Parts: sequence; C-alpha cells; structure tokens
Amino acid sequence: MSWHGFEERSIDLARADEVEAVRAFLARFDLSFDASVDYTVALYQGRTMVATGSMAGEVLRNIAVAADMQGEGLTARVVSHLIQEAGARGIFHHFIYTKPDAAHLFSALGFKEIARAEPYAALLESGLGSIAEHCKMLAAQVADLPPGPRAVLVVNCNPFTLGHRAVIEKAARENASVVVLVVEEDRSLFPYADRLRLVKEGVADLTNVRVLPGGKYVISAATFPAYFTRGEEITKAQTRLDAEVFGRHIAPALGATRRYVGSEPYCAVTATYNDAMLAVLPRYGIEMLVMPRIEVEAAPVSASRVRELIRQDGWDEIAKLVPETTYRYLRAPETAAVIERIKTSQSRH
Amino acid sequence: MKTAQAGTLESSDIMITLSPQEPGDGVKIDIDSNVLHQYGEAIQAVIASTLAEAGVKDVWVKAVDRGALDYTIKARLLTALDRARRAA
Repeated sequence: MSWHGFEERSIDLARADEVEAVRAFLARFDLSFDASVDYTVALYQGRTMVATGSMAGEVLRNIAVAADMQGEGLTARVVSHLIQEAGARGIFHHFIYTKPDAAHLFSALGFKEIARAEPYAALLESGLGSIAEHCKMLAAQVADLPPGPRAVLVVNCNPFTLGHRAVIEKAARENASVVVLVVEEDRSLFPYADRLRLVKEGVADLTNVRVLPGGKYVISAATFPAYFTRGEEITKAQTRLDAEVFGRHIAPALGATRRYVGSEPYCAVTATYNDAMLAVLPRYGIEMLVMPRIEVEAAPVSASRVRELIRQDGWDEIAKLVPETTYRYLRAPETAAVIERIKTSQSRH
Repeated sequence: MKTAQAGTLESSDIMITLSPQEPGDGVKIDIDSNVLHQYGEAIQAVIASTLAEAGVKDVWVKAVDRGALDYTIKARLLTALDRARRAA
C-alpha cells in the first residue's frame, strides 16, 4: 500500500539483513531492537526507511520516525498499522512503553497514560479494557476481606517455598488481611497455573489471606519487560514504572497500605526492584517492609535453590525447603514434564 | 458476533473497535477525539443511529476519532460491524 509517497512493508524477522536495517535505524534514536518482538513494520520513502514500529503481544514498542519526517503523521501510520495487525491476531488492547517526553504523541492517538517514572519511561494504553476497569474488578475481589490494615505481596513463587510461606504468614499476623498477587506472565520454568495453585494450597489455612492473579498491570511484559529480558540499562526505569503503577493504581484499588517483600541477596533485578519500591511507594502512602529470608541449615531458602536441587535430584534437601503441598506436586507423575524441562534448562527463571 | 475493528488513527479518520456484549447490556459508546469538546455529541449520535439502523442492541463501541467526517464515521462503523458478523 502506498499513500503520500510512503510505502508500508512488514519486516521479515527471519532475515538478518532486514532486521539489521531496523536495528541501524533505531540506533539513531538510542533505541535497541529487541529480538523478542512478534511483528515489525517499516515505512519507506523510495528505498529509505523513514519510520518503524514493532509489537510483542499487546505491547507496541520501538516506534521511531526519522527526524526530518516528523509532523507528517507517520507515527499515526505506524501505530494504526500495528493495531490493525494486532486486531488480526485477536488482540484489542495495547500498551505503549515510551520516553516521557514522547508520551504526548501517543496521547494524541487515543492512548491514556497509566503511569510515568521521570525521566525514564511512561506507560500508556488504548483499546478495549483499561486499568480503571481492572481496578474496579480487583476491589470487588477483596471487598469481603476483614476491615483494618491490609498488606499486599507480589510473588512469582517458582515454586512456592517455606520462605514465601514465612513472609505471607508474618504479613497475615501483622495485618487484618493480606492480598497475594501471583505474577501471571508465563515465562517461568513452572507454569503460571501451577504456581498459582501452589500458593493457594500453601496458604489455605490462613483465613485472612486472599490469593489473586497478578493481571497485566503487575510485573507483566507491559510494566516490566526487563525482568524477563535482563537489559541492565533499563532495569531501573522499568522497576520504577512498575512501582508507580502499583502505588498509583493497584494498592489503592486493593485498599492496601503496606507491601511486604523478602530480602533478595541473589538476584540483581529483584534487588533493584526492591530499591525502586522503597523510593516510590512511600510517596503514595504505602509502607514497604523488607523481611530477611528464613534459613534452613544456615542457607537462605529460595526458589532458585529448589530448582538447582531439582537438577541434582536432591529430593531430601528439597523436602526441607518447601511445604508438603509443593513437595507432593513436585513428585507427582503429572509434573514430570515440568521437572524434565527444569533439568534440561539453563534458565535461572 | 466477535470483536472487530476498522479504520485508522490517521488525521481525518476514526478507528472503531466493536465488542459484542451480553443480551440486555445495551449499547455502550466510548469516544476519544481531538475534537471531543466541539463534536463529541455529534459523533455519539452518528454511531448510535447507525447501530440502531443496523439492529445492533448489545455492543461496546470504542472510537478513537481524529477529526473524521460523519460519512467516514458511518463507513468505518459499518465495516467494523460487517467484520464482527463475518467473524462469528
């Protein structure tokens, strides 16, 4: 298709030369091309690339327009193209993650700002569904919890250990009620459905604790791609943005004024995330409590240690680190495929 | 009916997304426009009357308008409706 002398062409992500052209174009804007995208489009004037944009799931990213072509409506062309392509894939809600000084370009296209972390990043959304509707649903899901101080934990639990149990138990003792949000993004070695089930089973006896899906606004590919892509440079930006979304929207919807986290001696990204929350959450009146990890035989209990022990078949050791419910799951015949995947995977997640 | 969309975000156009709702939910129209202040009600009226003519009762319409004229709005809405029905 060609209007106004511009031609839209989708990039063949399997072809190194086409990907390289996009990479070189983005480099002019200090943007890096993330190979995990599902789809990329570029606009050309003759043979010259003048604009590009990509999407990964419902996240639109890497949108850039050549400096001498700005004001020609090319951003609208790129975003329209991506939204149409998303629609063909059944995706009708979109996030844009951008620099705060570019946010207005997308506001003009109907995107609403969810949060920003100056000077690093802003997160916007458009389409069917919004954070306001999500928050309404969250509020309804905790409406029957006892009144009084309420705490939140956001957990991945890959898988659920006695360490997670200890932090949740402490929060349940110190507050009238506790909401546990389980990260929904399915990029960990243990599937989301299993992680959620193990948390529910592991705290079933704590009557003032409610376990809920984390949803797409809590440590998701939208709020927090660095957690999954490990770009060290952008980790600070994204941890702050995620903390902003939590402080501004999620915590108020849940009626929570405290967030509990376990201390993180091993994972740099999680440690940076904890720092970001300490910097951001108090501004929203949310107290952040860091709890030291519990130890078994002088070593901190952690899910990554459990995964390491799975690779070594250290089942006696594992039994000391996880509750009965998790241990039974790990040994169940229907979990064999997951266990096999962990043994052959080098992933730390 | 299934969720469907039509149109673009380019100047003088409108992007319309339709999502079927449960019977009895009625028509919900959300409009975002750079001329909402002056023309919001007019856009709303075009969408509502076009839906009524097409006999659509329970639907969520999300429109992002960039200054589209009435017949553009109508054309985009009918295309989205056609796609929504064909997808079913």
